Parts: sequence; C-alpha cells; structure tokens
Amino acid sequence: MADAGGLEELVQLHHVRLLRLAYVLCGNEAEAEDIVADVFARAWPRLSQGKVDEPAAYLRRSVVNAVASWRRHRFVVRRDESRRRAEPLVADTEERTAERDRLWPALRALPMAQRQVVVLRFLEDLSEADTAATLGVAPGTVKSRTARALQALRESLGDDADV
Amino acid sequence: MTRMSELESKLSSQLHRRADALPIDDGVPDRIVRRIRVRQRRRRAALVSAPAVIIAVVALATALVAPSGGHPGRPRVSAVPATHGPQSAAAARSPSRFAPSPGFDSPALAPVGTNDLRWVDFVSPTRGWALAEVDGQLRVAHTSDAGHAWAVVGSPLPTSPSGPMPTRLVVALGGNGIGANVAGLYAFTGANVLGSDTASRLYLSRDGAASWHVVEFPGPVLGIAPPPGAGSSTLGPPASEGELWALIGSSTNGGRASPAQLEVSVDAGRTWRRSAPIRGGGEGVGSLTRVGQRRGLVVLQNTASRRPTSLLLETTDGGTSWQQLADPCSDLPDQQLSAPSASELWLACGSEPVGNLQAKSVYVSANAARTWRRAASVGLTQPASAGSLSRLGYIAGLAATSSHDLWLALGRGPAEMTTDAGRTWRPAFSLPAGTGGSDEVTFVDATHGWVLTSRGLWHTADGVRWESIGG
Repeated sequence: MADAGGLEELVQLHHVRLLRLAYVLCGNEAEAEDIVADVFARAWPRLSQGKVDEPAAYLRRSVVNAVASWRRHRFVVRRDESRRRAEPLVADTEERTAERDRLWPALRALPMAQRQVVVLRFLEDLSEADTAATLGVAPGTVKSRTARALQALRESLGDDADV
Repeated sequence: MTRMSELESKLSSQLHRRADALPIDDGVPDRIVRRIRVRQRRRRAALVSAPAVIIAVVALATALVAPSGGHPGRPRVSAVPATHGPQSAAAARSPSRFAPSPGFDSPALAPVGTNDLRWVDFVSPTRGWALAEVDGQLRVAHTSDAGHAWAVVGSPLPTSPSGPMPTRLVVALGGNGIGANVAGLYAFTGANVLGSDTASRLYLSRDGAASWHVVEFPGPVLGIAPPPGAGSSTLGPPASEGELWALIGSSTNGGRASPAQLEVSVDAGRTWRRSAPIRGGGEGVGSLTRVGQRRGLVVLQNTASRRPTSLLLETTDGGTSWQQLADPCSDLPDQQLSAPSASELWLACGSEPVGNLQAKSVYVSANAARTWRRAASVGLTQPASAGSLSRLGYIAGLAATSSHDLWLALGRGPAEMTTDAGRTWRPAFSLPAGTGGSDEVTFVDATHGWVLTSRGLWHTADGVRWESIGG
C-alpha cells in the first residue's frame, strides 16, 4: 500500500477537475462531492497498488460511470424546471447562474449518453478517440451522439443557438 | 465559421463557465481522504472477523478434501457473443465449460465486510451470495449464516475497465427447490447504468465463481429471470428445469437501433434465442418479473419523449408475443413490480426524484394485473404524517411476500414496510440522515429478508425486527 501522503497528493491533484466534471454531469453540488469521494475511495486500492497506468483517465472514467450509476435514482434528467419549482428555496450554483445561460437547461435535458459525450468533448476537451475510450464505445458512436446532441441543442435554443 | 462550430464554441464556453462557478471549499480534500480511511479501517476490521475466518478455514478444508473443478484465483474466461438460432450449435461444442460442478461452493478465500457488498441474493434463510468490491475487483462472496459473515469465493469477474460494471447478481437453483444445488450465478449491469445504449455483458458461472463465461448483448442486460422456483428471489413452487430469461434494454449501439427484447436460453445461458421485440421502451430502463414458466411482466420506461411514461407489458408465451396491460400509474414512470404469487402483484410507481423526495403510488392486484387497487399514495408536496407512505427517498426495490406484506427499499431514504395491504406504513429501521439509503430488498420467505444499504446489510428473521450487520 502506498504511503498516506500519496493518497492526499492524489486527491489534491485531481479533486477539482473531477468535482467539476461530476457537477456538470449530475447538476448537483452535494451529489457531485459524494460521487467523487466514492470514486476516490473505490479507486484507491488499485491506484495505490500501481495497477492503473493513467490515473487521471481512470478517475475520469470512474466519475462518468459513477454519475450514470447514480442516475438509477434519477432516471431521467428532463425536468429541471420541475426541480426548480419544487425547491424554490435552494440557492445552489445552478440557481445563481441559471438565468444567465439558456444552454444549461438545454444541456441538462439531453439523454445522459449524449450529455456524457458533450461534457467530455467540450468541457474536458477530449478528442473523439479519447472520449470513445472513456465511455467504452466506438469513435463512430461518439461522433453520432455528438451530432445528435448538438442538433437537439440547436432545436432547444432556436435562434439563440448561434450568436 | 459554420453555425455548428459557433454552437460548439458557445457550448465549450458555457460548460467551462458553469464548471468554474462550482464553489469548492478547502475542506473537500480532507473529507475525501477521511472517507477513504474509514473504508480502510472497515476492511481491516472485517479481515479479523473471527466468524468469517472460521467459515473460510472450514470451507477451505472441505474443498481440500473434495476439490471442485475450479481453480480459485485462476479464472477461465470465455467471451462468446450471444448466439441465436442456427448459430447456437457451434457454441454447443464446448459443453465442458458449462458442466455444473458437483460441489458448487468454491473454497472461501477471504472475509469481506458488508460495506463492500454491492448486491445480495439469498437462496435460503441462511445461504446467500453477493457481488462484492474487493481491492478494486468485483468478486462473489458467500454467506452461510444469514449474512453475518461473508467470504470471497472463486475468481474475480473478468470485467472490462471501460465497460459498464455489473451491479446485480441472480442466483439460480437447480434440482428440486430449497436445499437443492445452486445451478448458476448471473451478474449483469441492471437498469442502473442509464443512457448506456451500448452493448453490455452477462457474466455467468456454474461452478461457484471458479470460472466465468461472458455473453455479450447489444443492449443493457436489465434483468435475469430463472424458471419459477429456481430464482432465489422468487417465492414459488419447487424449482424445475426450464428457460432462463434475460431482458435486454433498447439500444442504439453503433447507430443501429435495437428495441428492448427478451432473450431466452434453454441451456442455462450458453446460447440465447431472441424473442419478439418489445416495442415502446426508451432508454435502458426497465424490469422483468417472471410469474410462470411462460408468463412474465415487463415494465419499461419510455424516456425518449419529453414527458416520460411507463409501459406495462405481459407475455404468456415465453416472449413470443407481448400485450400491453393497463398501467395504473403510467405518469409515474419509475416503476417496479413484485409478485408474491402468480396472481398477486404489487406495483410501486415513482415520479422523477426531486431533492430527496419522490411522489409515489403503490398498487396491488389480485387477478394477475388485470385490475389494480391503489394501496397508498403520496405527493411531492404532501406533508409527512404518521402511518402514511413516505415521500422521502426514491424507489430502489420492493419485495412482497403476500397481498398484505410489502417492503420498499428507498434510495436516499428509509426502507418502508406495510403489513396491512398498504393502509399503514412505517420505516423498517432507521438509517442516519444523509446516508445513501437502501439499494435493495429481498426475501426468501414470509419472514426472512435482507435490505442492502449504504451502511451495510440489515436482516430480519421474523419480518418485524431488523438487525444491522456491519455498516
């Protein structure tokens, strides 16, 4: 087992990026921290034993999978509006910035498979090949999902799609 | 610049702005490290658990006297795509891989704590199996004392690091019912990897996890149903040989749309025959409830539309044809079924979760889903009241043992129970606030049940009092 300092260093190194990735995928600050903490906890045995060649990619993939798994309790994400109606007093980041961009609810309305691709491509700035490797799908699938996601966003945003 | 590239640029800009707006306080790394330390301490505690060590030693000694066909730690893996129709003959040329081991139970290798269990399935009041995550590997664990002590058996599942991980385990009995041999272990993704419109794998073992066989399907494996009586979670007649069913979710893998479908195997999972497509399903969300040799019910969530709905479908001919039944709560698309008998059914329906809350309705049928009676209901804004169904938590699983007794496992909430056909409800036990809640509930008879939670396993031997095991 690696030394304790190794664990803290690993967390320090990766937690900000992973938290942001989880947050953009799941849309909830508290859940994002839960998910990232759980990912570190589950991944640490393998990481500490040197069984992972690329920790950053491994952790990123784990977060993407964990968010999808977390969604078993939130099987669709098309109802941001209803969530806001039901939780009018919650003032998290989403509430503070939602009115400033129309793209966010449109993105949240995408099916998770499309949202994963969009977030990995345009937030993580991964190539199609790296996105495919992260998701365990063919590059062609990444291409088609990206096209479908962008088309859906264009339809949602209408004239505001391109400014 | 093209219109599309402008959109991409805007998308990238807003995603970064959104991510950068996330406040991350300085205490986050410490909280994460503390969480890992807690897991490590629990694992170490489990390793010195005396009962588990005794079980492991006894099982190991037994295995040395009568060794089974498997080799612990040395997986024999064969990855074979699902075969259909005429192709199945080719796959049938290697029957030795599927010959059930006379002594199913593999030697126990190491104890494992209940916090590392991901799914449990019991075949009797004392014997059960679990998917467990041990040192980053997915393993099968076994208990012979109702879940108090668990020990890893067999070889790790040959999972793909990039593919969806199995999160469900079904144990199938062979022979003639309780006390019979365990015929197979089936691990699969389940409905929890949503939006996973890619191929997924069924991991099956017929020698107590000593070796694994992998079958690939075009969509997510949502459910596995052994013949009635052979499934450990099925309260039914004695087990008999019969068809193994697999519910495969719809997919658009590789750009090719594939509807939800039932795959049927008559050789315990070696080869599979595709039945008629089940139309109407959306994302890979659904569940399979088998209530007879040829009869089964499927709930599919149609999430392709803006306003998700659910579909309740029935087959009476082993999946050859499907009929849509009246769904009493199609507007609450998070649905699960439980069948204490072929004619008695419970249906739990939930809305899209909001915070930790979910609107829920529970229906019961006494005539095989022809008509339904609403047993309980709670809305999102309805205040809590004693004896009513809780709006806290999301429906994660349900287990009915009669037309009066139902247990609901609630993610991010308590486990609820009713013993009077839904008129009154109460928490089965208490979990600390802020925990992940319950993941699963399973019963092997009217009184012996388990709930797997984020804080370990809970067990009842009388259907009333629950004890915490680990956590």
